[in-house]
Amino acid sequence: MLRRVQELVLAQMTGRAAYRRATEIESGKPTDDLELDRLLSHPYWEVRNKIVKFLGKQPTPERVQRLREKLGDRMETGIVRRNAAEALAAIPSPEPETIEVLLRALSDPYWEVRSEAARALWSVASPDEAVEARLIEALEKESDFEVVCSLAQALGGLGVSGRSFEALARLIMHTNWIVRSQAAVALSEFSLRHPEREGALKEALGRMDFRSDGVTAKVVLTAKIDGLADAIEQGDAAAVRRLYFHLKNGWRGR
Amino acid sequence: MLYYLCGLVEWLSPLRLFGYTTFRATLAFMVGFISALLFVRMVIQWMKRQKKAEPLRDFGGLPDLAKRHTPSMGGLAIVAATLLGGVLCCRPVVPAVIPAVALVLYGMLGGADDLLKLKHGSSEAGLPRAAKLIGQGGIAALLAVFLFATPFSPFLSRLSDEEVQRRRSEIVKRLREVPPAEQVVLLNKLRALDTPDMRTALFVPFVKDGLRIGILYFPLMVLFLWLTTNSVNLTDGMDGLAIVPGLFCVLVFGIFAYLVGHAEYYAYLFLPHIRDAGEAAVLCASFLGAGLAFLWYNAYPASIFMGDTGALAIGGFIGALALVVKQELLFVIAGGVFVLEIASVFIQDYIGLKVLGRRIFYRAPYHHNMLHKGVGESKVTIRLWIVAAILAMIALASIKIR
Repeated sequence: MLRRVQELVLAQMTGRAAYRRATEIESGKPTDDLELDRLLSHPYWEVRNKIVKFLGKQPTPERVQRLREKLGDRMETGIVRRNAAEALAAIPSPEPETIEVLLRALSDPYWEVRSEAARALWSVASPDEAVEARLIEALEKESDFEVVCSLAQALGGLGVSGRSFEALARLIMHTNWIVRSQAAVALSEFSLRHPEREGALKEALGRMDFRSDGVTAKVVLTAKIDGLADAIEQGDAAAVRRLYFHLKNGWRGR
Repeated sequence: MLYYLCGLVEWLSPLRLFGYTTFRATLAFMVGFISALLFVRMVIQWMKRQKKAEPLRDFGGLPDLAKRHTPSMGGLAIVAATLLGGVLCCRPVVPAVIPAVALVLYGMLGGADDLLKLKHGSSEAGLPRAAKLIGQGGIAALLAVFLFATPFSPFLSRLSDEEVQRRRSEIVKRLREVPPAEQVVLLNKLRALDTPDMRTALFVPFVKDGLRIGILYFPLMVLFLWLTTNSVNLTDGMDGLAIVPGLFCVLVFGIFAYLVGHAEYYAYLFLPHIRDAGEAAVLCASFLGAGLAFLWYNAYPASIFMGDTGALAIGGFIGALALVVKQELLFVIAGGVFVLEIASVFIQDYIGLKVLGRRIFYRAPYHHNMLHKGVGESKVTIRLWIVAAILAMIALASIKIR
């Protein structure tokens, strides 16, 4: 807390010009790695945040390394770490180091980082047994509903064994309807890659609890299940993936 | 206006009823309710003719499609109906005039904001933040000057020295004659006579005596009005969410107004005595009627929103009432839902994002946080109504427990 207050005071003194410059860089003004490094260590977190977002848009191996460092640095501001995870999600064919950093971020103390790391894994990692085991381990410990949603999504995309299916099938009975909805989409994505699970999928979706704390939720859930049924019938994996909530924008989407 | 009918009591005996605060309060409630029912319908029809609807705000989620094309500026009806009830049933005295002026001025400020938003079809196109701040501060300063720096202040005793002396001797004489339980009441009356200037006294809930904070009271008052108006404005984000806690709050301050203005109850309850404050209770009754009629249309799913016109007017009205009955700090309890909402925004934006660089809540204000977690809108609203009701009961408990 004291460190943050100190940062804030420093930011008031030096932040405005740096923030303006970071905004220019983010909008495409030319820069070099030296300046980026300087701004990445600026005391004002909003300056660092802008640069982190920029690094994700124009990645080079060195810049990806900076993003990994930012994500792994637990002393870094929470939102900067979250945006580092989001930036890494936009980089195709990541190196194993990136996947490892994202997996480590699943135990970050800040829920937004854990949630974004899980989503990033879903975006860039390939289905893999080791990744699946880490995701299930994280899911078992997790209590934040947003992170549970992201982990379900990651398991839907990356799960390889029956363990993922069972974990997701348990979430179908979760008390929060948003988690149930996310689990239904994840189960469908998983089952599209494992057609032998089609019967079990139907059975799991049949157990879906439609009760919720509001009329809107029931409408959304029903529409989601109808959408899933259509997408599964057509074998359209992309259509299934589009049905995930991205909770950063709220469950109503943006 | 109707008060003056009691002067004709010699010709028609039932007209004496208009002299009673409670009778006029009942009448004001009915006038407020019936006129607001009509006014809200008029506003809805006017907005539909103009093809105007509230440009919905987005706090991170999608503006709910089901709420598009819902008319706004329902606050106009609340303001007009409250005023009509007030003009008909109140005596024109300072404790009633100040909240009424606050209602109108803040309503006008909110109305200007709403009209700009409607004109440009965007929730971002209202009054610039600085203009709104200057407007809110200006109105608050105007009210503060009127309440504290003019001879019209209801917190100044109007009794002459001879009258004070006469009353004091009368009380002292009676003190010897009455049993101990009644002596306490007389002593409190004596104390009220000895404090002819209460302008800078700040009363803390559950505490008998006010704190004298001198000139500090003036900026605190301006800040307080800023808090009440903005907190109601932030709370106004779901159907029926702002109006019901507003009604509870006005009910609490209305009861206080009746008690502090009553010739006997204030002494019995150790409250400060504020001349003519009972008339503010009549105005409160008019507001309660108007607010309930508005809720008739604003209940989920809403047929109309109050807009900034209503939110700022209600916030200003509650703030001015709290000032007039000298229970400013009681707003923290009676208006606890509003305080919770503005506190959640402060914690999220300033402590969370600015200082810690992380979110504390999923969303702010707090009702968006609950909605984000998947709780249905009507459930969020009713839960916060329950909280408001409990807090109103606690606030009312401070009448006796002090």
